[in-house]
Amino acid sequence: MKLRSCCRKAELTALLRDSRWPLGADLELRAHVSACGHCSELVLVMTVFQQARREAAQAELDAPGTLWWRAQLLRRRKAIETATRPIMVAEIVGLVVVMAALALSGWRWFEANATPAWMLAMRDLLHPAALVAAIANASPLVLVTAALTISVLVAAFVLCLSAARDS
Amino acid sequence: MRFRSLVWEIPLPQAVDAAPVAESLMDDQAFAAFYERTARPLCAYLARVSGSATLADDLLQETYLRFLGATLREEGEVSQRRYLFRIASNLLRDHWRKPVHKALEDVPESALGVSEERGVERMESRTLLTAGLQRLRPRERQLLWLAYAECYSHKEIAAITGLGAASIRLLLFRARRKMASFLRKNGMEGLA
Repeated sequence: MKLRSCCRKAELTALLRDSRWPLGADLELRAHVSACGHCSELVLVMTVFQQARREAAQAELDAPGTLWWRAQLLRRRKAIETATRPIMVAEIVGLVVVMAALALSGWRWFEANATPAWMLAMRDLLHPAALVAAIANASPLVLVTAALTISVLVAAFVLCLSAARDS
Repeated sequence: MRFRSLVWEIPLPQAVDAAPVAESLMDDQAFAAFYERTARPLCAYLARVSGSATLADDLLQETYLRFLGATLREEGEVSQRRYLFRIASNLLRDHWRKPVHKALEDVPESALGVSEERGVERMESRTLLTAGLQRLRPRERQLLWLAYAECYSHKEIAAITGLGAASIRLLLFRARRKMASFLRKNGMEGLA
């Protein structure tokens, strides 16, 4: 396929774009278009497209006010999300630090004072070797119950996180 | 839900109200004027390329929402207009990439909003254009409309569509030849 461009293309395009074809064209250009396959094709196609565009210019439009306000709401929501993200992260970090501090101070307090027997048993159980032994010796019913409890807790935490994100 | 209440009890919306929203490029009146000047050609482009007036309306709204929501904005109406067409072209491309969408052949003629009140000659031209465009690929329709309805240069079309400027010429040449051939077969002549 050979690509050729006619030297009068720009002139012709301007006439067609400004709706001045054929009345605004001189006789020489009209004669050229009749003889030039490239230009006659351009006239044919561009006339149809320009007419369609002019018809579209008469179409009724919806009021832009609603659209503008929707855009503002979207911008505002985006801005709020951007602004709250670091605060949310800081809150989570703060929450974790407070919980850790509370746990540590509680641990220290129980070490300094008389620790209840059940808490001593819990502490022993948290030792990895003791935990493995306890799991090995536990009945299937206890294991299933523990697994279910952990699953429910994890699911609740995930739901809580996703709900916070959605809102 | 203690965690959630901890996060959202902070009264942030008031703090945010003042700052970023005020950064919008246009106020409502400037946007209304811009919309008035650009929406019709943009809607025509979307309708002709997508082949569906309903889809064009949806994409038109989405285009302006994205335009207003964009932070990087080009200066000047000509550039903004081109940017608008680029957003619309990207939305069309995303639409075509979706796995399930209505085939062009399934779109009824009435969906394109052909008015019965127009003159016979205009109707013929319009119907022929619709039929001719339906025979072309979406990309070809896009190129033809941008070049011959919007009168964009090859370079501008390349910026809008994301195609290489060099390939625009060949693609446009082929598409124009197909369209001209169809129009001639159906009795249209361009010299009158």
